[in-house]
Amino acid sequence: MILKKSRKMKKILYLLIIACSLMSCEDFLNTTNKTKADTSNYPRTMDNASSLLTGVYSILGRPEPLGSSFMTSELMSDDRFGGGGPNDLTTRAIDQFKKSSDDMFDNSWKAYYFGIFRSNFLISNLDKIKWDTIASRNKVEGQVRFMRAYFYFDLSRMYGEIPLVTSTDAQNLPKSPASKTYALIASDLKASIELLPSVKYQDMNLKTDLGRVTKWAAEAMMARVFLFYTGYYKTETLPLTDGGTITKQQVVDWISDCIENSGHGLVDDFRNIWAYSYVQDYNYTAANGLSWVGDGSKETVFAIKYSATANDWNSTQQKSNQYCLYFGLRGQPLGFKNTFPFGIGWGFGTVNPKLWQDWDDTDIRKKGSILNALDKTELKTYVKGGDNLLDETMYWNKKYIPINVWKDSTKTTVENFSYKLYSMTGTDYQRDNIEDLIIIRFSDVLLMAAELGAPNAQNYLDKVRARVGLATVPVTLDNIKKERRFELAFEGVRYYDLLRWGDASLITTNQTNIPIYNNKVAATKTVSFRPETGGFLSIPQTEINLSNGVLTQNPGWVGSDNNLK
Amino acid sequence: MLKVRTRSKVFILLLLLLTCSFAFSQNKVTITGTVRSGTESLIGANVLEKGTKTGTITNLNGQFTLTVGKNAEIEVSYLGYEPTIVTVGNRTHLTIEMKESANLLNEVVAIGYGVQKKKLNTGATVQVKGEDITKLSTVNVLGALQSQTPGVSITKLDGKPGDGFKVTIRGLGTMGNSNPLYIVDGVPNGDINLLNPSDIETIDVLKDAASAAIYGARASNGVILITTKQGKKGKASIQYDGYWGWQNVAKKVATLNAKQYLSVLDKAGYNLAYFDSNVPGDILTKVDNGTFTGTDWQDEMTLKNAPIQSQAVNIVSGNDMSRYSFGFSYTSQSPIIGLKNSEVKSLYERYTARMNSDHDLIKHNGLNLLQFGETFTMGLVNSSGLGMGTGSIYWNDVRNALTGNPLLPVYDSKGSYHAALTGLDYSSDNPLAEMDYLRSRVNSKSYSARGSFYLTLQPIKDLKFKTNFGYAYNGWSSRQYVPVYTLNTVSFSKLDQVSQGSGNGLQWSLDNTLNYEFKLFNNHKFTALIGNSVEKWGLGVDVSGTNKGSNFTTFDNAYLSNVSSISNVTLSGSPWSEGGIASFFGRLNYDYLGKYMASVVMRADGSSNFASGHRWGYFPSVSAGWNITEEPFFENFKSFIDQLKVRASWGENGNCNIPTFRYLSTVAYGNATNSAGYYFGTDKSTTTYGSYPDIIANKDLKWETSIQTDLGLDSRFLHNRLGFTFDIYEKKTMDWLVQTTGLAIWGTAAPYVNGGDILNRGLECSLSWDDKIGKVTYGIHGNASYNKNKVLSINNKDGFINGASNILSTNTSYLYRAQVGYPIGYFRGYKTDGIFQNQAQIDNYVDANGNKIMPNAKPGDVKFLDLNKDGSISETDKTMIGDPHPDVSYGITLNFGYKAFDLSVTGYGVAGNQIAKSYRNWTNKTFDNYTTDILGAWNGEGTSNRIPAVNGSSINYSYISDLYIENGDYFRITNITLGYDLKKAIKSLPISEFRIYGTVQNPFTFTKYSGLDPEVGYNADQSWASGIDLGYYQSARTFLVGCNIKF
Repeated sequence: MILKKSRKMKKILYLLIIACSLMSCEDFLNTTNKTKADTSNYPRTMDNASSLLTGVYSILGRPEPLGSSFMTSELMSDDRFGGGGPNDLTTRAIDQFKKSSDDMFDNSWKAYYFGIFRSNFLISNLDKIKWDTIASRNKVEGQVRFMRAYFYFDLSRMYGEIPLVTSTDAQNLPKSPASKTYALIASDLKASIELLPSVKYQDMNLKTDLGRVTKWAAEAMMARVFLFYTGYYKTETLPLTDGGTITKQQVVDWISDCIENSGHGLVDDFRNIWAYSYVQDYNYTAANGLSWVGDGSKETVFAIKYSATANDWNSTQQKSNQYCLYFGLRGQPLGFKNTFPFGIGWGFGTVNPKLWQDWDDTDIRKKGSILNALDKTELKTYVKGGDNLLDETMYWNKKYIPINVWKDSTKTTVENFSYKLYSMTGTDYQRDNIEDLIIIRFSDVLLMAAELGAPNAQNYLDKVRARVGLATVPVTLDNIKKERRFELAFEGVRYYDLLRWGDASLITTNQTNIPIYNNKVAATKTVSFRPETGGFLSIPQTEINLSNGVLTQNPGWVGSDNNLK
Repeated sequence: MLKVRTRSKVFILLLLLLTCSFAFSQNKVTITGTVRSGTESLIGANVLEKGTKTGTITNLNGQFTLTVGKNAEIEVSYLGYEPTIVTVGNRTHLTIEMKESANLLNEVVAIGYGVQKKKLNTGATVQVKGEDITKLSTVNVLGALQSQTPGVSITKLDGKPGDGFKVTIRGLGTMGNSNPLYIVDGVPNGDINLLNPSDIETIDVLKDAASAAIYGARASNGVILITTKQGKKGKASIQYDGYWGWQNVAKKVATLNAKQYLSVLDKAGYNLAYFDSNVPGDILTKVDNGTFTGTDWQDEMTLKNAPIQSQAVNIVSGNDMSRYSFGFSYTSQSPIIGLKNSEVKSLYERYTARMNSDHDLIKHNGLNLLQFGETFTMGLVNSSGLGMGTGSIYWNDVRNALTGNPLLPVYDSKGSYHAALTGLDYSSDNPLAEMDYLRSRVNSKSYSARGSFYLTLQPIKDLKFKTNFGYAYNGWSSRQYVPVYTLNTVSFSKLDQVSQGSGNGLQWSLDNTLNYEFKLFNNHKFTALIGNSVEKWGLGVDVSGTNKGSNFTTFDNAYLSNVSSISNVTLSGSPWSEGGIASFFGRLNYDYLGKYMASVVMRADGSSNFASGHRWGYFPSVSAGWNITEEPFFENFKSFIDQLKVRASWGENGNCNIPTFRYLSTVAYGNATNSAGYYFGTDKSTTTYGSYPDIIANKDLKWETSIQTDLGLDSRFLHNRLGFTFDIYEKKTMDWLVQTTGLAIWGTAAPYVNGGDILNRGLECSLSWDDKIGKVTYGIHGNASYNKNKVLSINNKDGFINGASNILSTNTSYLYRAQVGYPIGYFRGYKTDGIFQNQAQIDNYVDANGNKIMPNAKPGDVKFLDLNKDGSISETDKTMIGDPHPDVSYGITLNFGYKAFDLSVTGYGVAGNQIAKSYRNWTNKTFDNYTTDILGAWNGEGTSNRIPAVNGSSINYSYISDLYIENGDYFRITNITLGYDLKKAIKSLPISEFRIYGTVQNPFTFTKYSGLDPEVGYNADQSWASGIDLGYYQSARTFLVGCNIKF
């Protein structure tokens, strides 16, 4: 009996030992993540690096259109109004240098910093990756440093001074002086120029690499940064993080290199850059013998790329060109077959008639850039006040606007041209527009080079004018200013040009007592630039609150007085 | 229960009985009797002639024979039953029905890995019996607990059939997961929603740290121990409980009709011409001539007399060697809000089956050498057409009904949904159409099989070894069909959509305990327990997909295989989030003659949620109690004080309940939906996918610990008629786990951190009185708890964490905040001081320097207070404008019984809390309908000092202010039940109970709150927020009839 008992006790002990040994080791508690890698083992390979780099690129389309640099600069420029319907307070607030809410830019502010974080992460992990050649590393580093500069430059142009984050730690940082931020931007671009290979546009493998940052894009971007920084902050040079500087001469050398050696150039007809030139059923296209060059032509130095894969609302914003949608014609009760080939959108960024008036009729770019909705040779029937459109001027931009084709030979129904071109299945007009958004165009490069006083300045200006059949004019700043306004209208350039030239007062001058229609009712529109803001936007109040005052609001944006009522 | 006596004992007792019965005389009568409880005969009950020494004990059949004096009173007592006195009168045969004692001192409570006599328990626990849960006829067990557990706050989370409850024990102690740990039949992480109330034997809530410490790692939010019905020795007892009922909405909030709506918008600056040109057809003419008064969307969405029913059968039986308990139930409930005609009928259904049994495998010398047992519960929940959304400002059908445009007819002349008034607002839609198209064609099923197997070895009398293996299998599947639809110009789909998903997985636990009872120096009794346990969860997978362009157009055919196209596919398949915990624990209970008690608990837990080095947490506790009534000096008071116990406890508990892998920075790979892809190259239909770190790591993440001290008192007076329990506690939660609100500049999701400390202090008391007057028995049970919540520290420079923005409507700032010195999740905003009645008041509203504080205000605008006196209204003027936590919550139950009738009334209430209410998208939806309050808006001097002018400045509503805040006090009669037991009336019925009853649930709510229902559980998806009413599925008013039959 005792024996039996002890045997039982042994059994218990045995069970206990099994149970204990099961846990004595931490193995039991170690679990592995089956869906995600983690930073203890990632990135290690070149594939990892290229995957992280793609993650950085994916942010290009991420900022909500209304809070993006492209859109805000268009709306704030003297060439366009807010537009939209009664509920679209934000577009008109941006136009009028006001707020629709304290957090109106919350989404895009975050998005830019997503891009910066992802860039910082990749940059700080470059040493952990096993590269096959130094060239492979340079290619990745050159791209990612351009991207970081790109995000910072957009943020700096939009908000002025901003927190400068260069590590992946969670820190509460105050605003950094502009000189420090621009030093990082300049240093990144410089590295990018030096690290990326000199492969001509014609020698690139466009099939796989179109859309990637090139040395040429970095050189062009450097010129844009230099012009903005030295213009706006009135300095001679651009600072670098190591204490050095970038001189005008260096920038001229780089931009000249871009012009002479990149293989980029102007396409023959200015109008062939824009998607309407695809539509042969469009009178204007047919009459002028136009033919769209498509995305990624030799004139595109850098663009944000969009895709035909947008099939649900979640991914729409990043995948389709939302600017086209936002700038599209607003609600046409008679249908868009009457506004063929221009399609449906929100009616934002209506064009200031002043631009139309200032523009010489002999310049083919005028009708190539602006749609006069009441011109019967352009549109069959345009209905005023569609969906309660406000700030209506009858003038619309033609560069980024939904473009339709006839669905079939009966020519009774329209569909977006991307259906034909990319065999999209098409479920929602909000994600139909997928042409790329050109960020840097070769004519801009020529004009920047001219403005910087490159040796061939006159020739560069002439090239731009000659393409549209205009005679030569002397390469003066004044002439360059005019040329930029017309050549680059609606391309996210004008507003920043005005700021850097110190011409912000034109925003008020050109937008005083302009006749418009608000929901079919005639009215006049006056927009006043608010110099106290320095031309910069309001920082999301939530971020200021979260920072407990470490981050401060921009001048001119404190309190509730600037709310659009 | 000591119903089993050994043969030898019975023999001795029979002898006693014989000796007694010789005292026979002329004035005496010999009576026979049966003592029983229900169908069960009680063997060995004491039967005594009152005031004499004449007595006997019942035999094996529960019968006795006794010779007593005329008019004698017979007193019967039996352990575990209430003493019963019957007058013999001129009867010679008595049937004495014994009632099981509910509150007597030998009652046991579950304490985790065992039970203990309540009398000896030194912790703060509350026990609710299954019968008290069943009798409230709730679908969910937690719904019935609400009024019966002081210190436990239970609020419905959504309110829709099948939706759960938010349970908080002794105040919110964390910004992270605050759910208590549920242990069902000894198995952790149980699912209480799966149980039918009729399956419950007892529920024990371990509130203080000392009681909960045995579950250390996950006990900081308290522990709820659920024991399902166990088998019992005896003849099979079969019980049927069923009810049928009809539910209706209890309250409607008045919204504007078409005419009122037009007049209000006219005041807001939209004249009739505006509507003429933007409202299609002859709607306005019809409104004008009175043939169309406008659509009341609430009425359109209300379903009248929505049926509800529940049927449950329980069988309990057993013999010397084996005992078992079976339970089967079916419950179904229709919603009170939904579509009157829908393709998929809205119905929530739950089937449960439960089998518990235990078996004595080897018995030797009166010892249960080896026992085996199991518990097993299977459940199927089928939820059809219940996709209606409530809670937030998006996807909220209740809110859509409140904001829906009254000018919009429901149907057009063809009987289809009337197109939205996009002329007024391009993004508006027909609320019914939205619910129908987007949310009505859904079905989801969940399956589960849970249970445990255990073996108990008892090699020597006082030593027990138990090993318990628990497991839970859960599976789900769901389908949805969204037809081709057009709601407005931005919300439409030209292709129909089919979604399908399913998943299943497992969790298991294994624990071993060794329990040893021993005595030292005769009266010092010890019970020692040591044990260990390991658990693994998240062993499962989910797969789901959607596709567009079905070959069919009905929900019945909504399967992915019925869609031919492959261009609109989204797919996901992922493993469950895996985790584990390993633990060692020990407990030593001590008692000296039931007079002095003490208990020491220690537990060590290792959790996979933390990095090696931060994994192990140690959770000690001590408690002690003193039964003063056992002291000799107390003898004199025993006539009116039956029990008086004071107890004190201190202990630490943990919380590790966070998503896994937060100690690492994980890298997410891009896929179709998370946008980490880009489109290099010329082919626009190819995506290159990327990756990015999706959260900032925190390697130092560690346990959240709560430290709690409790002082308590349990007492019973006046022959147990009066009961009083009282507790005072202080619970300090340290290093709470929270994902911080990150700064945007961090560029990815913010890390989880040990974010701060929080203090909860409170009192709880419960008072009960049970007695009878003549033939009326009655009981009054009440409980109340008071809790004060205060954040002690927050681990960032700012000392606060803001809640999410855009909660009340788009473009509004955060509404609630956690901040040092304030209750967690308090409402923060501007204080207002009425409405500017005229320009002079605006001009005179100046700062110290004479500058106008609100120069842009117009008469009729809200006057916001410049609290920091800086001359402008800005962020720093915000202050606490409300506290969503009730100071006091209380429950009351009244019971009456008269002959065969029983009546009970149950009520529940809270006081001292505020609700943030917003039934309109003030800041971005001009054409939303209004509640009728707007008719009292400022409209010239002296007209209103609370509601701003309808054409006032936008900041009136875009600024979060006390305008949105209301008191949330309420008291609700949750249940009135009147029952009648036919068995009591017709004694000859061959069953032991046949009770029929009628119940009305939620008949009365006493509140000044103007919203639909003051019980709002919406928390903006942040567990530390509460009390936000944006349109909520209200508690139904339900009429039930039911019966309980017991064989």
